[in-house]
Amino acid sequence: MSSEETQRLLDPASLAKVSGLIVRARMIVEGSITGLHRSPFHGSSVEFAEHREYVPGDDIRHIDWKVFGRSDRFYIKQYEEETNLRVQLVLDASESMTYGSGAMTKLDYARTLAASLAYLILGQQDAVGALVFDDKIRAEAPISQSRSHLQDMVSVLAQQSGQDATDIGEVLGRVSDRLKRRCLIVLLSDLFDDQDRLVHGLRRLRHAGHDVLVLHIMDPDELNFPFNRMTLFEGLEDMPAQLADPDAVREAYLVEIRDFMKRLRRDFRNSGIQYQLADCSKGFDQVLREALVRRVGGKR
Amino acid sequence: MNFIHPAMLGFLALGMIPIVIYLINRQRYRRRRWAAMEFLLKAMKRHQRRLRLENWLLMLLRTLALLLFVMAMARPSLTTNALPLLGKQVRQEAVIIDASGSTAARKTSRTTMETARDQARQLLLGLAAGDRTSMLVGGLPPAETPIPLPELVGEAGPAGILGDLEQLAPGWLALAPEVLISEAANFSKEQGGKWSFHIYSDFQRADWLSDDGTELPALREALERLDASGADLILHPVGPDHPRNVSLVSLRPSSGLISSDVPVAFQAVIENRGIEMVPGIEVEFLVDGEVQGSRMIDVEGGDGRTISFPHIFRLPGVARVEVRLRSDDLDRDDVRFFAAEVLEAVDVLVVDGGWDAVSESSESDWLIAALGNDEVGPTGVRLSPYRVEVIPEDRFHSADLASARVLVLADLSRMSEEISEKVEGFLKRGGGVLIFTGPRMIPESWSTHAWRDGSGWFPYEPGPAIEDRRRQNFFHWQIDSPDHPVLEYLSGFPEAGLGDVAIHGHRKPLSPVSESDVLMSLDDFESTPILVQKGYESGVLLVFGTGADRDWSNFPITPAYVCFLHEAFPWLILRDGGGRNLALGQPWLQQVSSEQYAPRVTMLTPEGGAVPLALKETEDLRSFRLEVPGRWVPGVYEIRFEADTGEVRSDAFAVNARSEEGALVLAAPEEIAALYPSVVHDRSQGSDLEENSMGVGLGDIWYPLFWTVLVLLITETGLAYFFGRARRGSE
Repeated sequence: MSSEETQRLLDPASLAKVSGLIVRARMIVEGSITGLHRSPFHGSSVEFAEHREYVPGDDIRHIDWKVFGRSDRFYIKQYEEETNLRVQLVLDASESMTYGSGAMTKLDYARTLAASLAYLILGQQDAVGALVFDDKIRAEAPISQSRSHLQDMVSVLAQQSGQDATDIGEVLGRVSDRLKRRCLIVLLSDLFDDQDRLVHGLRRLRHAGHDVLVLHIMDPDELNFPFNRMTLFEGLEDMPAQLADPDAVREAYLVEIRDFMKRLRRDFRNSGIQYQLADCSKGFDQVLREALVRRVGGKR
Repeated sequence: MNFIHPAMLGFLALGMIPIVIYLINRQRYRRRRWAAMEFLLKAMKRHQRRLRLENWLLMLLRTLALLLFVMAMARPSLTTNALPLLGKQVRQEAVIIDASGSTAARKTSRTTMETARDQARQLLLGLAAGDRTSMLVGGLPPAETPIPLPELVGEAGPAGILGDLEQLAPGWLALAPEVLISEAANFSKEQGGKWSFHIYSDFQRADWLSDDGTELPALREALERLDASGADLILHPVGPDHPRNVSLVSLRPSSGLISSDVPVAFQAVIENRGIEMVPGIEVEFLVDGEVQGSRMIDVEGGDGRTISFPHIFRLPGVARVEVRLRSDDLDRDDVRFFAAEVLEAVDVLVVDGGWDAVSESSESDWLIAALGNDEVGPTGVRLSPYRVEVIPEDRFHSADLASARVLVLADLSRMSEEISEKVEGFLKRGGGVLIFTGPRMIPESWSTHAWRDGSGWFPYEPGPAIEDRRRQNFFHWQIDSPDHPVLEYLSGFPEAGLGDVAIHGHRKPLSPVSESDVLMSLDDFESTPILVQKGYESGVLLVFGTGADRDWSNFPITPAYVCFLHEAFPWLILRDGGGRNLALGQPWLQQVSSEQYAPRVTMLTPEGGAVPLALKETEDLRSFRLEVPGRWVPGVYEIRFEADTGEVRSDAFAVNARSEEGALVLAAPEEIAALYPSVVHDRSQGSDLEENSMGVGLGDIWYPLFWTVLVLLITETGLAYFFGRARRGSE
C-alpha cells in the first residue's frame, strides 16, 4: 500500500480530533496498567509517569535527587502501574459493507475508524491487531505494540474489496479460539447477518473474558430510507431484487430497521457488550468520542 | 340511457389514464444496490396487502372520476322517470312546422305559414334556460329540410332554432305526416327523456284521413312509434277557416302528338275548392310567354270546369304553354305549365305484306285512311301530322328508315335475318313499331329470326293462324290495361265501339307473355293475348295478333280504329309524352345523339337562375345522356345546347306541383285525435298533460354526475393524504 493511502486512512485531521482521548479498558485485561485503566493486577513493573512537587508527608524515597540538584527544589517521582491493553480490531468486509450513499462506503468508513483506533492504541503504547473477514477470515495483522506495525495493519485493512456474504458468528468463533490473552475486541460491521449467531459469537467472546465493543456501521440511507421514486432494489449477498414504491414502504421499513437495532442493543446490553451506532454521515471523531466516552463513564 | 353528445364517449379511454400511469411508473424505475434488503422484504411482506388495497382504491377512485366526468360531458339522459330527484328539471319541447304548399294560403293578410311561425315562436320563447328543444319541418324538398338537432335553450332562448324558423317559407310539396312523425319518434328515442312535439299545420284532411274518414295505417303506425318513445304530439291548427280557393288542376293537350300546322287544343281543368260560387275567374292561356287567349268563367262551389284553348303551332320545337288564374287565397295552384314538343310531319313507313301491284290495293288501305295525310290546306292547317309512305314487302330490304318515326309491318309473310336486323336497328335508335300479324305470316321464319327463343325483338313465338273463314264464330276482345296511354281514352269512351270489334282470325302466341305486357286479350277460355306491347332497347313495339284489314276482323270499319291509331302512334313516338312534363322532384333524362352534342349546356330556371349541366357519354360510346336532377319549383325549365360554332339549340321540360295540395279541406283536430288516441289536440286538456310536458324527472343526469365526480376527487385527495400520512407515520 502506498504512503498516500496510509495517510488517507490515518487522516491527521481525523486523528487530531481523537488524539486527546484515552482508550480505557472497562474490564481487567491481562497485563497491568494503573491510573485510568482498571486493572485486576497490581503489577511489579512500574514506570515513571511524572513529577510532582513534594509536600510534607510524601515518601522521601521517591524524591528525585537529580531534579533537586538541577532546580534546588524537591519533586516526587510518580509511577504508574499500567496493564498493556490488547485490542483486536475485527473488520467486516462483506459485500453488504460496500454500500454507500456518500463519498465513503460503509467499508471505507469502517476502515478509517479501524485505522484511527489502531493509531490511537499504538500511540498509547498498547497493542493492536486487525482482522478482516466476510464469511471467513480473509486477512489479519497480529496484535503488536510496535508503531511500525501500524503500516502492516493498514495494509491489511485496505486490501479487501467486499465481494462475499457475511458470517460474523463463524468468524467470531474463530477469533475467540485464536485469542489466548484477554483483549478488547472491536467489531466494525453493519451486522447484517443471523442475529442469533452474531450475538452468540459475541457472547462467546465475553465468556472468554474479552471485552467487546461493537461499532455498528450504518449508511444514512439505511437508517432513513429517503427514496421517493419507484425503485428496483437489487439485493447484495445473494438477496433477491425487489421493485418497490419507497413512499409506500418507508414507514414499515423504518419500523423493521429500528426493531433490528433495538433488539441488538438489548441483546448486547444483556451480554455486557458495548454498542455504538456509527452513522457514516457523522465524523469519525464524533463516533469514537461517543464510543470511548461511554467506556470511560462505564456506559454501554 | 341516451346521450346528447355521444361522440364524447370516445374519451372514455381517458379512464385508462390512471392505470396507464400506474403501469408506466412501474416500468420507469431506478435501480439501486441495496444492502438492507432483508428489512425491506420484511416490510413489504407485512404491508403488501394493505399497500395493494390502498393503491387499487385510489386508482379506482381516479378512474371512476374520469369515467363519470366523460359521461357527464356526453350528457346522459335516462328515459324513465326513475330518478326524479336527480338532475335539473328540464322541459323538452319541439316544434313541427308544416311547410307544405297549402300553408301559402292566406287568411286576411297572413298566410298559414306566418301564423304557424308566430305560434311556434311564442312557444319557443316561453322555454327556460336549460330546457331542450328542436324543430322538424315537413313539406319541403329533402335538400331544403333542416336536420332536427337538439338545442339547449340559452338565456335569450333557442337562438339557432328561432333563426331557422324565420327562414322557413312554404314549399310546393304535400306534408306526408307519417314520415314527419316517424322522424319525430326516432328523434325522441335517440335523445331520451320525455319529449312533447307541437305540430303547427292546417291539417289537410287528405294528409291525415283516408277518403272515407278512417285512419291511415302508415300514420297510425308512425303515431304508435312516437307513443312508444314516450313522446306526446300536440296539434295546433293554424289553417284558415272556410278557405276560398280555385285551383288549376290539370293542363293537357287534346292529342298526345303535337305537330306544326295541326290544330291542337289545350284543356285546362279548374276546380272551386270552396263552398261558395266564385264568379268572374279570369283564365289566361300563354304560349312562350305571350297571351294567346283568355276566358272569364264562373265556377260553383265544389264544382269544376274544363276550358279548352285551341292553338296551332307554326314551327316545330319545344314550346312553353302556360295557363294562369287570377290570384286567390292560395296562389300556388293558380298556374300550370306544359312543355309541348311540336313535331314537323311525322314520317310513317308502312310495309304492306298484302300489296297488290295490279289493283294497287293493300293490307294497309284502312290504316292509311285512318291516319290521314299531312297536306296543308288552304287555311294553312294540316289535319294530320303523319306523312305516310307505303312500300311492298319485297322492297323493305332496301328501304331507308332514317327519317321514319314509326314503322308499320302489316301482315308481312316472311321474316329474314336481314329484315330482322333492319327492324332491330330501328328499335335501337328509339323507333316505334306497330305490327299486324295476318294470314300471310309464316310463323317459323318469324320465330327463327325475330323471336329467337325469347332473345329477339318480337315478344313471343307466333303460332299458326286460327280463323273461321265462314265468319260465323268470332271473339271479342277485352281491355286488360285500361290505364295504358294507348287505351286510356278508349276505355272511358265505349261509344268508340272498341267492344264491338269481332275477331274471326288471329294468331295465338305459343310462348308465355308477361301479364304486364298484355294490353288486350280475347274473350276465349284462354284469354289469348291479342294486343301486346314490348320495350326493346330504346324502342317499343305494339303487336296485334290480327290483321290490319278486314280479313280477320271488322276493326278497321269501327270508329275505334281511327281513335286507336291516333292514340297508339303518339305513344309509339313519344312513349310517356316525351318525358317533358314532370312532377316535383322527378329527374329529367334525355338521350342526345352524337350529331347533337354540345360542349356547353345550360339550364335556365323559372326563378331566373342559370345552372351549368354536362352531357355524359353512354356506355356504348355512341351517344350522350343528359341527366337533370329533380326540380322542386314548378315552371318551365329551358335547356340550351351551345355548340362550338355558336349555334344554340333549345329544349325544355315542365314541372308541376301536385294539385291536390290546394284542396284546403281541413280536418278538425278533434277528428284526428278521435282516430288516433295518442294524439293530444288540446294543450289545456287535463293537468296531466301540463305536468308531463313540463318534464317531471326527465333524467338529464349530467348535473348529479358532476357532483359525484367532485365527491370522488375530494375523497381521492383525502384518502391519498391519509394513506401518505399513515405511511410516513413515525418519520
